[in-house]
Amino acid sequence: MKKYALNEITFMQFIFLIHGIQVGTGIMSLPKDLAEKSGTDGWMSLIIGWFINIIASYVMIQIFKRFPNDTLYDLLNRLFGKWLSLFISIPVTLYFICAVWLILIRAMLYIKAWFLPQTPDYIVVFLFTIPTFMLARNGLRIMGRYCELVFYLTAWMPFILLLVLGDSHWIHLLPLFKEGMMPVVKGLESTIYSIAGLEITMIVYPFLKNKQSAMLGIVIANSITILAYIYVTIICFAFFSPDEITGYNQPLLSLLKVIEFRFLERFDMIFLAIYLFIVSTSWIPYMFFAAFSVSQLMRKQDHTPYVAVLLVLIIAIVFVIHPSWNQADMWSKRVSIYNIGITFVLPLLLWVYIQFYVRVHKGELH
Amino acid sequence: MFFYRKFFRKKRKPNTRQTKQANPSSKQTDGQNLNSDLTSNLEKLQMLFQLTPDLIVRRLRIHVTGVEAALVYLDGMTDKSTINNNILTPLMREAHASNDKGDIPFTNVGNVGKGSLWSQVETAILKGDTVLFADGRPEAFLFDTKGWPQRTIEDPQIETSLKGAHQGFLETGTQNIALIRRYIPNRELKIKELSIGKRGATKVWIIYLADVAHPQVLAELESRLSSIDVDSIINTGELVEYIEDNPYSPFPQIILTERPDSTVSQILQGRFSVVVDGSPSVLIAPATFISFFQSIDDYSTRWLIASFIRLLRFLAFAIALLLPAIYISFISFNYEVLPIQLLLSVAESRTLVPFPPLLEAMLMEITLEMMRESGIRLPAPVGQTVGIVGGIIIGQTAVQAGIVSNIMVIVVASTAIASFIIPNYDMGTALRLLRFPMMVIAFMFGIVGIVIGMMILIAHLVCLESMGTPYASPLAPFRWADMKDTFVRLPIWKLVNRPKNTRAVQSRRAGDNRRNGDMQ
Amino acid sequence: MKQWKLCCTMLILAAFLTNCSDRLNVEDVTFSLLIGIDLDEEDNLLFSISSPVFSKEAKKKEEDLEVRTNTTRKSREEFDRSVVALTMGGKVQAVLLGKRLLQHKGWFQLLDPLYRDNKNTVLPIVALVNGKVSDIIRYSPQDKPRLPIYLAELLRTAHMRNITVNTTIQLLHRQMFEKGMTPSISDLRKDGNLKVMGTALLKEDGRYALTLDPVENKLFSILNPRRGGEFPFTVTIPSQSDESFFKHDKLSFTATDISTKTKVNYEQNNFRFDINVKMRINLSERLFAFNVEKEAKKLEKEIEQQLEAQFVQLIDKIQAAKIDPVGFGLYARAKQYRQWKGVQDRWGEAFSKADVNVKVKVRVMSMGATK
Repeated sequence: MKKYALNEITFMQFIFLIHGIQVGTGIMSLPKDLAEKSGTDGWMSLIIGWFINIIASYVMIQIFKRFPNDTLYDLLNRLFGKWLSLFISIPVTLYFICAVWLILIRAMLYIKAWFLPQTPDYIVVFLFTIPTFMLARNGLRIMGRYCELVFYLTAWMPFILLLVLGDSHWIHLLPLFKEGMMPVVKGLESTIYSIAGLEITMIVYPFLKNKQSAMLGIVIANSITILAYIYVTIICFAFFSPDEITGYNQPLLSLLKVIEFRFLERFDMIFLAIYLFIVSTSWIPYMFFAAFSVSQLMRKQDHTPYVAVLLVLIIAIVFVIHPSWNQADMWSKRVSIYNIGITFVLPLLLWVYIQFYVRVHKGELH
Repeated sequence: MFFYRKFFRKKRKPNTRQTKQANPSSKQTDGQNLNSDLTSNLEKLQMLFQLTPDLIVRRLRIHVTGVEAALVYLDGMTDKSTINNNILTPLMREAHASNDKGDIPFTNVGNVGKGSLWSQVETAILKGDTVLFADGRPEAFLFDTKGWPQRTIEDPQIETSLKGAHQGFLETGTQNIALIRRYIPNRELKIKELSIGKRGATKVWIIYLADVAHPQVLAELESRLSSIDVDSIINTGELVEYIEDNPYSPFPQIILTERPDSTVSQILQGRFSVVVDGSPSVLIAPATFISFFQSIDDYSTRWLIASFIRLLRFLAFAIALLLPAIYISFISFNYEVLPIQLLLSVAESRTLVPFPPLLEAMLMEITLEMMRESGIRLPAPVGQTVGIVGGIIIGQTAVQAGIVSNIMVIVVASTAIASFIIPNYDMGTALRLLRFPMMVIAFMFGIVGIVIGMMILIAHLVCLESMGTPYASPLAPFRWADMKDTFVRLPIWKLVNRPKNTRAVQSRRAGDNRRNGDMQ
Repeated sequence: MKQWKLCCTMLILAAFLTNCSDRLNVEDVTFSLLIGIDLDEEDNLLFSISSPVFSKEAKKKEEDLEVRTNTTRKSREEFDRSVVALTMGGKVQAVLLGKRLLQHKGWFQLLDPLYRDNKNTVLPIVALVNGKVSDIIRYSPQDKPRLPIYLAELLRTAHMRNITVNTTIQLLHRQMFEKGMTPSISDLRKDGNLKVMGTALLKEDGRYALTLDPVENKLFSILNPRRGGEFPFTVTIPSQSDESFFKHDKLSFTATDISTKTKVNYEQNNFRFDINVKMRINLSERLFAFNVEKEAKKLEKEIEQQLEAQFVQLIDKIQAAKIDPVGFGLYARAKQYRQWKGVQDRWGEAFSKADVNVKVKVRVMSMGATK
């Protein structure tokens, strides 16, 4: 009956899995993106983003409450049958693959820009793939453990930012609602890439040990994420002048450059290197979900070979096209739109469909 | 990369390497009964034990009944005074030594058995028992007269402790069990006996608290032990390799200890210990990564100090693992990170050195490892000289000769000191080994390499399990309750519950013994 | 097992064959610790660096180099042609800008690689050199540590007594881009040995405007919201003037716990800034007889008047130059956003018309060990 019981994850692991997936490379440039769209009021867009995410996850939970032992793919099979379901499950799978690709590329670009400008990009990606393969070939439970451990290991990092408070000017944040509400709403667009990650609920739900608290878990995970974003954004806004912040590509890293200790300078380098751990909690679970999705499409139990295939494929593509920053930015815009479809539109449509489905198939459920 | 998995996941099916080369003598004796004729029995015995000069056959006539008999035992494996005083004397001198009903003769030996199969007789003799054949009986009497050269109980050598007991395990399994039982005189302390090995038939005992330890872990442990197919187990270390979860991991997944007191403390926490006959170290499972950083001394020093030392160990772990790698990455990739004054002095000392940083580091690290290894093999008085030669001559002159920079010497020396702090020897050696790949990856990719290396290490730790218990617990999966005794050790009376990672069934230890308030 | 070996070799091969290029051992690097940019007599750009030499055989501790090129990055190429090892900008301690350079607009763009290249640090202090930059870079004092370290330390400690500002490259970026404030950097001169002159204030486009001497700089630092270090003042108390040969009307004190409150209003098409400065003072020198116990209020009053007069002078000077080094524009934006929006692109001018009032409130905390 419960075919995912072996890989059940705890409540905390669920929280950190979602949180880990949400926080990736986006945070580096987020303050700039927000400042471009909505000036120093940009941090308020994040609150709206939080609210929208909560609504979306509520819809997802409502769907999966009825089918507590189904992943999205099982559900699609149930609703639309073996072949018709492919129309939805293939795009979802592609989404996961795109997400892995994008995060890996961005992480690679950061590492290349800051540490290894001369090293070929595929070597950097290859380095990332070793831990990815070691983890993603295992079950969801290992993902959960990894995200949990990394969260605790890196929980000190936000506090480092407090060191710049002496140089910050809170007056930059005033006045609130400078140009009214419109810029705040516009800023929402630039947050999507950073707050994406809720869609995994649709796959994780049957693995959850404690399904009643799923909603609570999502709210907590989302809140941690958004709080981290607001925290970083506000500190960046207070540190940089509103006129100069748009001139930096990665304000967070430029800000960290200022931190130095008597024994350690250039803290941005240390920070970025360790931040790779946090980014890895984004791409590794995505890789797991991508491989898991492919194995579901292929109707196989073991997803390990697909992890290997996808990773080799990614290295090969990097080897061929050598992605640039501009391409990565362009892709992340597209994936953001894609993400809207997967996270917001798909659950809504499914929910509507299920309302009908349930009425039609009354006695047949369970 | 499919083979990757094949490599890392050990297949837990019966060992195919040791194919069934059954013992030739056992083939002959299996299922054969003893003869009732003494002479033919003795002939058969002579045939079985060819080229065994230490086999003693003493023919005698039992005092009252006058039955011809023979006492057979292995010289050296048996306690001679027991045989002389408690078997021979009653049999040959005393009237009631034997009765006609064929029961066990009246001897003054504690453990007496009967055997009618040749295989039983053979094992008994080989194990140090004395066998009495009597004419006209198709069975033999087995007297427990085991007694072989033994050393006395000594202070444990590898795991020295300041305040713990000064008794270490011995080579005799039964004595080791006794050492353990002395701490827990409780009915629930159960001991399961198994025997491993076709030839050696090494006796192995699983010791646990029946009402505390998890039955599933027991079943797992038992099935792993019984599926071992091997000639003989000489050391506990060998046994560990057969039963651990991931034999390709550098990390020890099972604790080996030579201290009865730490074994007992682990048993009380709900773990299992396995005593192997003939080996002075005892195996404890399931183990977690953190448990290798705990020492019995932690519980006998004041908790604040113990916590400080615990934290020191984790710091030492990080230093021993990463310091050379960080140094390499700082001087060949990320020098921006060093403050200017430090950078200038590092650069100054580096200008004299003709080798690339990795080679320089390897040179020193390997010298250090060699010194350490030679220190172990040499007798104690000579070992001191190695320290002097290593410390003064190599360290001092290598710098003067411009082969290594003096900062490198500092790095290597602090690494060495740090790795000595790890209380568990196996974890310490794992660390020594892991340092080298870290150095290599740091040399190739700088600080990013180190992070990737750490990521691989953490990924590995997260995936690892010991007897089905997550190895990285209580960190991943995170268990807040176990944090009381992880990085710090809270006062003993706060540690009311057993650690969760042992999967103990009975989670609460004995009650709250702390007096409340200002009571006398 | 075979496959495993294959995997291993692949891994090692892949790693070893392709990477090598990023590694640069520390001994193969020449760290440019000082960067100087100047114009020579014919208005050619002049880049100079000073970097440490590690070789034991070398007599001098530094090598100094000067080249004529158009950009900072190109200058690196030129340096590489002659210095011992490869030049790296990651450890620059100070950036020196010639006064001639600062007579022209657009010099700030020359600093672009310091921001763009991630290997570079943004923490070197920026200083204006009153005179030739090369004079300072060539200078190798016998009784001091290496010049770059000496210079950086000099500027850092000078800031601790508020003799000059502590403008790093990062801060300069902010001051240049922020519409509500104009840049201010340290002012340095070499006559005989190095001397910190005070703070050079620049116009919105980066051109040199005026220099504040250490006394003015202290007042300037008080107005600045990010202040730190000590504030020792010496003021003249007019009521105590006497005819003795030594002027005995001087009073010195150290101000602590300084707080400022800035209020912004918009009245009659002009901004109006009311700044309330509160400080507690500890007397450190008093040349005249005075009963502080009883007449503290009187003393406070006079100190307040003296300081206020000095503030008025300072602000007049700043307004006359049409600059806003304090960043009053930030307050204007925060509190009067509508009005600010209209003038944000010509804030210097708008500020020069503004009405700035400084009120000082002093409280004597201690008079020291003697009466």
